[in-house]
Amino acid sequence: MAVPISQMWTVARYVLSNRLRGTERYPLVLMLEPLFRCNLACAGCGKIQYPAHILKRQLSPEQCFAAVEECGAPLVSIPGGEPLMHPRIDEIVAGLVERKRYVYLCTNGLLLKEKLDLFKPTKFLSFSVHMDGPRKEHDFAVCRMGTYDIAVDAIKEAIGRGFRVTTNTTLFEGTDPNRIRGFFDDMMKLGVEGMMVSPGYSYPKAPDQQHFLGREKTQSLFRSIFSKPKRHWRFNQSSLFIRYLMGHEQYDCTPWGIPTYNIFGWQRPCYLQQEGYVETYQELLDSTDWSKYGHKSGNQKCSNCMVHSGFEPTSVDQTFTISGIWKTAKASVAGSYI
Amino acid sequence: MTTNSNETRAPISDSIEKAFDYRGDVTIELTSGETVVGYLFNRDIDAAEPYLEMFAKNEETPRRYAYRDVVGLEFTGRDTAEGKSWEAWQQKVAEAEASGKIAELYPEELDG
Repeated sequence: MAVPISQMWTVARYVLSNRLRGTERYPLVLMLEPLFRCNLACAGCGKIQYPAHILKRQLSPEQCFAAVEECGAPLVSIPGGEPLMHPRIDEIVAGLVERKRYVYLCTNGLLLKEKLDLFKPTKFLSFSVHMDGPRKEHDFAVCRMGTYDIAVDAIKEAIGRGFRVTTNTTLFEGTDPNRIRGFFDDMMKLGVEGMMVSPGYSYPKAPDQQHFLGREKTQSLFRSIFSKPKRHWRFNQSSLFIRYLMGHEQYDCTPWGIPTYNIFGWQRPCYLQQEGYVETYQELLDSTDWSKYGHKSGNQKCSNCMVHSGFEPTSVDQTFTISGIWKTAKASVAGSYI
Repeated sequence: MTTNSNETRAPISDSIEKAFDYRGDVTIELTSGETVVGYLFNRDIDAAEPYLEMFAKNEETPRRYAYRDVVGLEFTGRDTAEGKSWEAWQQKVAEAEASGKIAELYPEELDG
C-alpha cells in the first residue's frame, strides 16, 4: 500500500497553488498537540516535563477544529504526549477526517491495539507509530523494555484491520547504520505503508542534551544508511528531504511550514523551540521575526537542527521545481538518493 | 520572593524570563496583594504593555497579568525536569545490569 494518489494530488495542488499565488509563507502540516500527557517517560523528550495540572489539561475537539480551519494545512499530524490517552481522540480524528484533512496520528503503540475500535479505516487516517530503531535501540531510547514488541504487535493488528500505518523514527548519536538498514527491512516486512526518519533535536529544556546528532554526524549517518537504499524501502516523506539529510541539498528552515498548536496556543517559532505563544496562526506569521531562525540566522539553537519539522516543508516546496521533479523521479524510479 | 518596584523594573522581568524557562510552578505576587500559584507558560516583554500568562492550578482558562502589576515571583513548585538527565538514565541502566535487573522509566503519578 502506498500513499494514496488523492493525498499526493491534494498536497501537489496545495503547494502549486501557493507557489502560483506567490504566497511567501504557508503551512503544510499542522502539528496538533492535544495534550502533553504520555505513558512513556523518555529521557530525550522535551515535551512531557510539566507539573501535573498542566499534564492533565487537553485541547477540546472544538479547539482542535478551530486551529485546523484557521491554519488551512492539508495535513495534520497529532503528536503529544500520547494522543491515544486523550479521552476524546476519536472525536478529534473523526472531525478532521470529516474536514478532509489527511491525519497522521502519532503513537508509541502501547495503547493502539486496544483503541483501534475507536477508529474507522480511511485514506484520511494513518497511524504513525514511533519506532526508534530495532528492539534493543528502541526500548533503550524510550526507557522501557518490551515497548518494541507491543508496538510491532499493534502495527500488525492495525494493518490487518485495513488501517494505513507508517513508522516514525528518530535517530540519535551512536546509531549503527547497518542496524537501521536492517530495521527498515523489518518494518517493510510488517507491511507498513512507508517510513519517516529524522535526526533528533536537542530541546533546550530536555533533560538529555548529549546524545543528539550534530550536523556533520547527521549527514555522515544518513549517507551510510541511504547510499545504497534497498528497492523495497518506502518512505512517507520527500526524497529531497532524505537527500538533504545526506548533505546533497542545502536548504534553510521553513518553521512556519509545520506550525504547532497546543494548550498554550500557537507556538513560536517552531515545533521544537518554545519562545512564546500567540492566539492565531496569522498572528504567528505576522509577529514572528523569522530572520532570527534557521542556519543563516546564526541562531545557536538552529545550528545543528536538521529535523523534518523544519526541513520537510522546504523539501516539499522544492519538489515542485524542475530540478526537484527530476531528483524525485530519480529516487522513485531508480531508487537512488545520490 | 523576588521583589520589584517602579524604580527597579529589570529584576522582575528577569525573574519572569527565568520562570518562562522553568518546568515547575511559580507563585507571583500582585500589586493588589493577591498571590497566584501556577505554571507560567508565556510572556511578551516586547508588547506595548508587557504581560505574562499562566495557568493557575484548578482553573480552566489562563490568566494574563501586566508586568507592572507583578511585584514578586518565587519558584515554589518542583522543577519537573530535574534529576531526569541522560546521565541519570545511563547510570540507572548500569546499576540495574550490574544487579541483574531491568532499568525502566515511568511517568510520574499525576495525582501525586
